Amino acid sequence: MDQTYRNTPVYSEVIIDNIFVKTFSKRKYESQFNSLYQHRSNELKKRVMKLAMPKWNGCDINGMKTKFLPKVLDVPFSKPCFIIGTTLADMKYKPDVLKEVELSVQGHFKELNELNGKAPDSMQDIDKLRKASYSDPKTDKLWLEDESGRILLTGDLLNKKILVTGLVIGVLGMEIESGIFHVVDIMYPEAAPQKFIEPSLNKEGKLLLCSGLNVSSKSDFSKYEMLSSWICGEFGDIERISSINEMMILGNSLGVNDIQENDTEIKSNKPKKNKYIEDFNSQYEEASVKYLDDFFSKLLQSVPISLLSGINDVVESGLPKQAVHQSLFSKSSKAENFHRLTNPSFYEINGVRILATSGENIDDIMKYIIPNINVTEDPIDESITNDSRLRIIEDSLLWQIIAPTAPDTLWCYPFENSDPFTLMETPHVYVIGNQPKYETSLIELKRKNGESVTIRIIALPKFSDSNTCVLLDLQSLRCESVEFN
Amino acid sequence: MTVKREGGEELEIDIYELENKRRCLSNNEVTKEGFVIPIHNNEVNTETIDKKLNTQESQVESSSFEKELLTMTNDTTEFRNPVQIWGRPELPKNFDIATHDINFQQLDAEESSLISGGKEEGCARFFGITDNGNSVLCNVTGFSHYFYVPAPKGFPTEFSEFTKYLRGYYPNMIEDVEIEMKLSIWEYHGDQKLPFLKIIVTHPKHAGKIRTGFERGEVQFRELFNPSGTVTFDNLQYLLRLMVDCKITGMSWLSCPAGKYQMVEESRKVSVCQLEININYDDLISHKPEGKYLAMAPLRVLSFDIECAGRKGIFPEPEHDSVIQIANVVSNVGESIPFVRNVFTVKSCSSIAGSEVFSYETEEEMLMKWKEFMVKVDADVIIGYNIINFDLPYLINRARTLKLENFPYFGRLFNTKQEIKDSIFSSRAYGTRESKVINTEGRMQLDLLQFIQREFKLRSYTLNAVSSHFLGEQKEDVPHTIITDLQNGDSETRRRLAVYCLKDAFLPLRLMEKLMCLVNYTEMARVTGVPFSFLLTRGQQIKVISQLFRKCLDLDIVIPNMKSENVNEEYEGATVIEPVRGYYDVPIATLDFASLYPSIMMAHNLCYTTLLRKPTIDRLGLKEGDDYIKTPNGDYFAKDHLRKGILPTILKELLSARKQAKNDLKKETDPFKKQVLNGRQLALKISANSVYGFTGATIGKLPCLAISSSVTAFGREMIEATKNAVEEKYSIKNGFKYDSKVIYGDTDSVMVRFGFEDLESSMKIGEEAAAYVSELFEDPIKLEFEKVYFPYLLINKKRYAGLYWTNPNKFDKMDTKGIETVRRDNCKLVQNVITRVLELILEDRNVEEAEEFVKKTIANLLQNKVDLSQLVISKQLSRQDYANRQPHVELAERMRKRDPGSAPNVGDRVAYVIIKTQGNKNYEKSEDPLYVLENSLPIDTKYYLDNQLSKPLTRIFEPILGEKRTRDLLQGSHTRIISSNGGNNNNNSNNNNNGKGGLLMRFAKKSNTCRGCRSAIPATEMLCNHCKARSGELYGEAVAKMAVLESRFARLWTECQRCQGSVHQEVLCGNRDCPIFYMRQKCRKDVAQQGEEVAQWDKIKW
Repeated sequence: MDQTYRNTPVYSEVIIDNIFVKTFSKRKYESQFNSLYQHRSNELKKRVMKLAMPKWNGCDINGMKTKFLPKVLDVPFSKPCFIIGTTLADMKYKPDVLKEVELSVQGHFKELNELNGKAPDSMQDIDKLRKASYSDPKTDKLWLEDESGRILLTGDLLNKKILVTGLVIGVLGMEIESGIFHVVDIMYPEAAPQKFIEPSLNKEGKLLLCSGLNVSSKSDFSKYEMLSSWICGEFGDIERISSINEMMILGNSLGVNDIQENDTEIKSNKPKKNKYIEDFNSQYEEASVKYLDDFFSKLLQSVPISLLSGINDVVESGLPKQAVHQSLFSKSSKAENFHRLTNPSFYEINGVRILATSGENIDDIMKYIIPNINVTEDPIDESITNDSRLRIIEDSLLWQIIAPTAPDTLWCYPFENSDPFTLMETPHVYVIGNQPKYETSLIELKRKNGESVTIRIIALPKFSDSNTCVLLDLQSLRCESVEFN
Repeated sequence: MTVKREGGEELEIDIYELENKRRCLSNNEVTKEGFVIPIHNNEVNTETIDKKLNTQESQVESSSFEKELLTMTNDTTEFRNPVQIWGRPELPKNFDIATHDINFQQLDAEESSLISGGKEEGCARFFGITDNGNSVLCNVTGFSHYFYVPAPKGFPTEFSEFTKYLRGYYPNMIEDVEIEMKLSIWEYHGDQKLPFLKIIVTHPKHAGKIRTGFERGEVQFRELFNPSGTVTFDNLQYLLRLMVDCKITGMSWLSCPAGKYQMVEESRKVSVCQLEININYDDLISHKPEGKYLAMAPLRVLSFDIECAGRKGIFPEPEHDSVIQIANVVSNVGESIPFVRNVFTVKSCSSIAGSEVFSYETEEEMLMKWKEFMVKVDADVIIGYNIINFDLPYLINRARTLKLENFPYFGRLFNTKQEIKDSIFSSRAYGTRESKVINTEGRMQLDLLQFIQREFKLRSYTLNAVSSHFLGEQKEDVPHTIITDLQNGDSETRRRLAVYCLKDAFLPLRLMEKLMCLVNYTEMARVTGVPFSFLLTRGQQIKVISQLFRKCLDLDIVIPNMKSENVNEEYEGATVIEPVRGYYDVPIATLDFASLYPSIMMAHNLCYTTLLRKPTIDRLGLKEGDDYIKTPNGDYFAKDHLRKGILPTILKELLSARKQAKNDLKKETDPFKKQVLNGRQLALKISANSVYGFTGATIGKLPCLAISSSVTAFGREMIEATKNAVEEKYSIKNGFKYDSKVIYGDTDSVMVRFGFEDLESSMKIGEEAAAYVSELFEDPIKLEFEKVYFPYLLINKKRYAGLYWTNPNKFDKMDTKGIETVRRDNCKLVQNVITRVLELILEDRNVEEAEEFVKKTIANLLQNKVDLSQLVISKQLSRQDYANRQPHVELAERMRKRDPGSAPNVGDRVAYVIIKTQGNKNYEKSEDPLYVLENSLPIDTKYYLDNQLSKPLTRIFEPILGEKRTRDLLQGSHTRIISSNGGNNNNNSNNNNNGKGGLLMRFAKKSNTCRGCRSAIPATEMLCNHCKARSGELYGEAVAKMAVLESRFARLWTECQRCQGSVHQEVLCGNRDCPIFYMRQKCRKDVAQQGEEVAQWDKIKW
């Protein structure tokens, strides 16, 4: 393995898994996305089956015994059964590249502009809506597909569950109309095994979690100064600081360059481009990158840093995003305790297995459910409308897929015969960066053999908005937030 | 599972319990024993689900065809008892020939013979359907064929001698001879009717022989007949003769009154029709298509498609390659959901919701079962896409190869074998086309490919392109090459194939509905009187002939059998007023002559029957102006008080019938009847316009250049007169604010600049001028004000563009003529650029932005950023040898050498792009777009700029910008950035035999250049020393490009998965007409290439 991924520890042993590493030199774009779906369903079907069989087989619906059917296509009419397949959410506002291309290719520029929200106001709303949501509750549809075909799912239960594209689930119910399956119960895959935390490795210590620094030329730099001063012990608080074994930054260290027309100052800093050359809209902003490089360099003298790449960082668009390139932070990159990580990353420190993403997986799932969720008195539903992401994160562990909507609406590499987003191991801690607010919970999933796995979930806020970091105790897995004012 | 939550309260809930609770344990859903699904209450609302399934709004996966199939099975009982009923409805239980009239719509008619009283006699067979869906074969008997010969001077009134003579000369062929008083259609000779001999024959097949006898002068009687031959009259084929005399039109309703018809004895039946009857033509009642006879019988339309398992690289041949699937869809006319949807397969095939699957072990068995199905379902119309030249002949030939003797008997006549004949159809309007003809007696054929080729000019006629064009949807397409693999897979892969096959069977049906071909052709048959099948297999002339004979019958006029002489006499066509070219920023009013040629013929009574020769004028002492007119062409025609012309009468009837149809259309509310009426008014319009063409068709049945030349001469004169009248009247000297100017005029319209700057005044004065000018001409010639163009760009003769206004508040559309937006030998890029430029200039009135757009597009083109699909040019590969070497012909030849299977065949449109090669001949530079992508060959962007874009853009911009700025537009600084991309990055793959270009490239050495400044650097570096400081920025650019390409790749390929309706299966689609087809291939190359580039950065030590 490359030297950068296995470092001589200064504070703690950090082991970084390479499941999300896909070096550019090894990429082939020959395969299609079906291979990934195939692999996912092959793996998870077995695990759904394990839980579904004992619960559903022979149970009673309308006085008839249910049985398992291996093919979606073979579902009999009006006879209870259960099937397992991949979900597909059919939604009105999902991006539609064919339509866009068709309009531009056919020369329907007016319609294209409308589609892209450039012309009439009403269309702009759709575009705005699409940024937050794909769903139109009136026409949303959920299908269950396997190799043999697909069937439309229906039933009140669907409104109470979070269901997006790309999950592998079992459904119990029956076909009440041709091609329409009424669902009365849903089964997720069994959780993957969890590694035992070796007591000898599980030394005392804390992990400092932070995301969304969003450094840009317009940032207020005082908050970053405060953070670094605190870490460097300039504010005292030595007891807490000295317990920090590692700092993990979960993406979006750089902010978006939102150059307005009147920002002449910023504009003039950018080299003037010939307007006839295609601009790929590079996120690179020299001043910000340099600032961050210096910022990291300073911190690295006190604490090792693990840096995940996020949407705003100068990285690729598809998942898994590879580590930020060394040429960007050339000073920091020279330090041995600077770990540049992929996003997502599977990461071990003091024997604790941590899964971290910079948040786009959860953000994309949100777009499937926002207008669709029924506001009821249920405390969980309520918390979702209050922008809580906790339930989605919890559910994604139930699903055992951390980025189910890739490749449907979240771009990813066309993996051949593998799917790194399907959990083959349940982590001890699951951290998601760049979320609207700090939340945490502990969930416990029971496995078939009776053992249960417990996962600490942390939704990490954007530092740039909240001035908040989170400290995770690596022994108790308890969290506390640290806010700078 | 339990959730423990921290932060404030800790709660511990069993997840199953939690979910059970939220599933509303409260009422009837879950009982102690298990679950309950409420099936018959409101909670399961079928309607809402259907609504969801059917909403067009949801675009994401709406193209999935399987979903559509599903929606056709809303009736669960039908779906779950998948026995779709094939047979026809039973005859009424109490059916009795003594009491039941038989009313039926006749669809197909043919000539036939009956043995009656030991004698063979001619009869006509009409196949039809009653209003309750029973099939009928009606033999119309007793009608004898005949023709006329003018009785020579001195012919005796008592002519039984002659009859005897003729009977002797043509034994058993002459039924009788009669004398009738008739007029010849040719010229006006006065009103005196003359005696004509009506030669009645015993059997239609003898008519030709006897007629020739007269024409060659073989028939002689007391030396009365001209020894060099006598002109005969009324040469009309038997079937049409009968239809004309009995007043039966195509697709009309017939009644056989009870007691007047006889059932054919069981043993003598020849058809599979439920009713097979004989009736004498005198007893048959024919109904005009009015009132309740406007309706269509419940015709069964069968659409089918076959799949063949070809060998690699070879187009399927029936001698070797088996038929593996046949998909069928049968629908009743006017019903939206087909009642039969099935697919016949060889080897097992998994079930398809909404459709029946019939699987057989052998191909032989499948074919025979399909034939049984055909007979049982008893289709009235067989439709499909390219069925006449591919599917039907393939099935018949395949069955022959397999020695299935009983297969080719699926017509309505069970003893008549289906056979394939070649035919060449040649017509001035439609061009020459080779075609197969397959007899399916009693079942009409409507090949949508042929229909669309006839009626529409399109870039491509593949089913993909056509469905995309008319139905607005892209279709997944399986490449021929993998059909065999799918067949050899398992029942799932065969199911996949079957779904494609079904879709291909569905599409023609949807196209037929959308284009209303059946309805429109039905109305055309009714209006012109010809049988339906003539419309697809015969030209324009037969339609006029049929109408002419119908009219003549009433007027005792007979039509000479003219020898078609191949004189290509040309006459002067329409006139064009020299355009005053330019860009007009004021409203330009357009004045049109409505139905110009028909009105001229009506106004001046131009007809065969009114044509006068000088001797006749002198003989009858006629006065010019009072009794006859002299046309601008110098021909004479009698005025209508002497005789009303037949052509004007026909035209008048057609036009007033059209007016009637249009009025009825406005009042009608029933959508199907609306279609019918619209089809009718369209048919009437086309018919009216074809009359003029008929008189001018020099190789036609009855050409008369005196008529056609006079028509055009009048037209020219009228356009000139209009110009003068308008310019004279609407002038400053007559008190108007401006001098008006006719800036252009063509055939039947003039464009006038009245000078007013607002639309309202222009429209008002346009109306006024039209009314004023109309008065100058004879009725019914009428000049109409139709629209105003504003602004208007007049480029040249027959080339202009403008916004089209019929009311001053909002323009109707952008109208262009002769501009590259429609021409097919241009690439799409040209079309798109021109469209956009015109939009910007005419609609937005923003010339600057139009210029900017052009510059940007040219820059994109030169930098290779235009999608390949936009650069594809297509030309049809015709059979004849071309004089010059042409790009598409050369390419077809090269492709044949590479892979004979996928090479284009004669008649196909060859798609190509122009690439850079060593040679500079265009015909050497054409290449298959897919091959270009696969081998990263460089596009000759300069060709596209110089040969495609340059001319049309110059034409548009020159009148606006002037010469200098236009040149700058095409050659300015934006054209300096030229990307050498495409082909130079990975030509390891193609340096073997790629013509001269490939050879040369082998010697060209690729040197490594600095990513920042392009200066040469060692192969191991990315940047020169000078640029190293900019590494972050330059890497940032590289990765930004990667990001764009990655998401493009993901979006394109996930889109294809959605379109094919499955995420678990590989995308196989090879639909080259789909706009993202080339894009997704190119993107795959680009993203991999950029990945390598980004990887390069990783290799460098910093």
